[in-house]
Parts: sequence; C-alpha cells; structure tokens
Amino acid sequence: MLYCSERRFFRASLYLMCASMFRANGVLLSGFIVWGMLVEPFVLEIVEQDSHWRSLNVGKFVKCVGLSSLPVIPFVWHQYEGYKAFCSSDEPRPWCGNRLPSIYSFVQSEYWNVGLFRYWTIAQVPNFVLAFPVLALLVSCALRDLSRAHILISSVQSRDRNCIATPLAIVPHAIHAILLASILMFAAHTQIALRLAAALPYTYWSAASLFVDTFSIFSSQYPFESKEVGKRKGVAATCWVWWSALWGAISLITWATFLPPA
Amino acid sequence: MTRPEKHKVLLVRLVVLQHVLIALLVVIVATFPSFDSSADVVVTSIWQKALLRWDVFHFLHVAQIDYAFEHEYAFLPVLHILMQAYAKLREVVSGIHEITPVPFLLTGHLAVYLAGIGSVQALYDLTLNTFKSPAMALLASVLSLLSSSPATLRFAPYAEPFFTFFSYKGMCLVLRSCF
Repeated sequence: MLYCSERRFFRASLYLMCASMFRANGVLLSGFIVWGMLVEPFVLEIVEQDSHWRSLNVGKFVKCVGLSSLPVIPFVWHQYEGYKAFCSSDEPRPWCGNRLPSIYSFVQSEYWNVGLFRYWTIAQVPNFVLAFPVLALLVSCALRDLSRAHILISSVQSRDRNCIATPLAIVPHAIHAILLASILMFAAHTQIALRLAAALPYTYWSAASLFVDTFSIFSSQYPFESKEVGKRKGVAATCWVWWSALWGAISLITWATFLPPA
Repeated sequence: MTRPEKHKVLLVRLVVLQHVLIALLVVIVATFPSFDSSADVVVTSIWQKALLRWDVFHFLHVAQIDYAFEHEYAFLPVLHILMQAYAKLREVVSGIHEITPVPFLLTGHLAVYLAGIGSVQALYDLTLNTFKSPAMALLASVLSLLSSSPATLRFAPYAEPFFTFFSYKGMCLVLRSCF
C-alpha cells in the first residue's frame, strides 16, 4: 500500500511537472503534492482523533519536498537557460546582477509592465470588468469553501457534528483558486483570468455549485450532515450560462478580428 | 457501457462538435478586415491568419528559430517544441529544414484538438473521483465547454490547453481513488 501510494504521488508530480513546462504559474501546482502527502493525512488524523501522528515523519517530509520540487524544475531550468543566453556575454543584461537573476521577472516587468498594482489604472478598467464574472465566482466560492474548512476542524475539537463542512478534497483547489485570483487581480494583466480560470477545475465546480448544492453530494461520505440538501439556485446559474455563452461567442469574434482582450 | 463511460463518449462528441463550430466561426469572421494586420505580413490564407493572433506570434517565432529575443523568455519552451514536431520529423526524414509558418501553426492547432479531448475526459475523471457523483462530473464537464476563453483553449496553439490537460491528470492522481 505504501509503495502504491508513493508511486501515485510520483506520477502525479510528473504530470504536474509537465503542466508547468507550459506555463510558469504551474509552480503553484506543487501545493497539491504537499496537500496530498502531508496536509490531508494530518487533518484526517485530527478528525479521526488519531494520536499516533503517522503522517508526521521525517522520511515522508523529505519525499514530499522531493516530489513537490518536480513541478518547479521546468521554471528554474528556463531561468538558467535565460541566464546562459544573456549573462555570459561582455554586456550582461541589468537583471543579471540581481540576487536572484530571473529573466522571467525582468521580462514581465520590462516588456509587459507586470507588477504589483501596475495594472490598476483607469485605462485598464474595461479589462477588470471583463474578468470580473470569473474572478467573482472563483473568489466567492473559494472563500465559502475555506470558511467551512475551518468549521470542519473546529467542530471536531468541539465535538459538534451538526454543521456543514467542506470536504477535504476540494480545499487545496479553493486555496489554489484564491492564490491565483489574488495574483491575477493585483499583479498581472487581469483579463488573462479569462484564460487561466478556464484551466482550473475549481472554476467549473464553482459554476456547478450555482446549479446544485455541491455539499449535499458529500453528505453521505462524511460524518457531518449538510443542512442544504439538493437546493437549486436559479438566477445565478442562468446568469452564468448566459454570460459564458455570450462572452464565448464575443471573444471568438474579437479573436478572429484581432481585437482585444488578448 | 457504464454510466461514466456513456458520459465520456457524449463529452468527446460534444468537444469535437465544439471544435468544429469554433473553427468555422473564427475562420468565417476572419474574412472580415482585422483590427491589426500583422498576420497579413506573415501568412496568406484565412485559416492561417485566424490562428495567428496575439501570443501565437511569439510562439511561432520561437518554434521557427528558437529563442532570439529577451522578451520571448516570458514563454516556457515546451509549446514551441510541440509546434516543431512535424517540422523536426520532416527534417529527419527528408533533410528539409522547415521554417515556413504553416507546418508549425497546423501542428499546434491539431495538438490543441487532442488536448481538448483529453482535458474534458480528465476533468470528468477528476470531478467523479472528487465528488463521487457521475451527475456532478457530467455537469462540471459540460460547463467546461462554456469556457471563458474558447479561442485559446479550443482553437489557437496556446499553452493553456496542454497546461489544463496535465494539471487535471496530476490533480486526479493526488486523490486516492484516481490511482
């Protein structure tokens, strides 16, 4: 069982490493390995009031560090390739002398003007408006799920089983969504949320939660009973579908005519 | 055929249909004058111009001649390697070094189709194993077909389709029941 578990996380880490070969924000995916190997077993031990603390051992921690480093390697390698290309000449680039010489950080700042609050100008308000629906969905659902995750642990400690709890499997996705949404809102070209959110499973789980109370699906799996079983939400779900379909069609037309947003 | 298998067959059909409709819409609209005529300088046919928008210029340039400018390091290399697949194969077989844009665009475009089909199935598996509900898995997967950026997820050679596929597969393996 232990070998099967280790092989599973190794394969997961390889897939996530492949993902981070395509986009730099793939380094955040390391968090899923840390969650699966260390955090979730630890939380389950708390929930089950298991005092043996089998999840906390040095060997497991070292393996976790190793496997969660794999998704970071492509980004680090890319920085190394950039360093070789631009910092080995007689006229090295300005970023070569930084404590952490990162061509990616320099390029994002220099050529795309990416930085903390740099995109917060009047001219970019339309881009914030465009990205608002998907960011609002992500942030609101993530905050909802994370607030209930806290209840899960605190209710165990108070032995209160009559409360709504967030199933552990979606907590890392909620954390990932909050982190990514924060980066997109404060330190990126916000409209790329339309592209990046489309790559998150949490976006569609959040959209699905507009149709059906997703917590009711977990009620039979966990000791905590959901108080809102099978409730359907009409207006929000309808708005989401209409916005998705309309914006999808409009974005295809703007793409074809080479109009913004990118 | 089990219920999840039926759902996945339906999803694959929907994705293929969606890809065809998106391609038709984009190519038809691309016949109208574009706001930016940069693509006209590089390629000639309408469908090539429809593919060549925004960051695809950077991806294509790196795929053709490798990283040449500092700003191109904003993009990680594997997408470019993918776009080079046909050109490299042709070079090995016939010795012809390809640098015209069409093979790179076409290879990237076809790879996006495969990634899209794989992604929707991977999302179904991930959702099924997270929520233990085929209905929820189907709902989330169908909603993913109404993505907020269909051009970059289902049509153009961008990094997102492949990032999405590998992310879903990796996330699913973190779950016990996906193993």
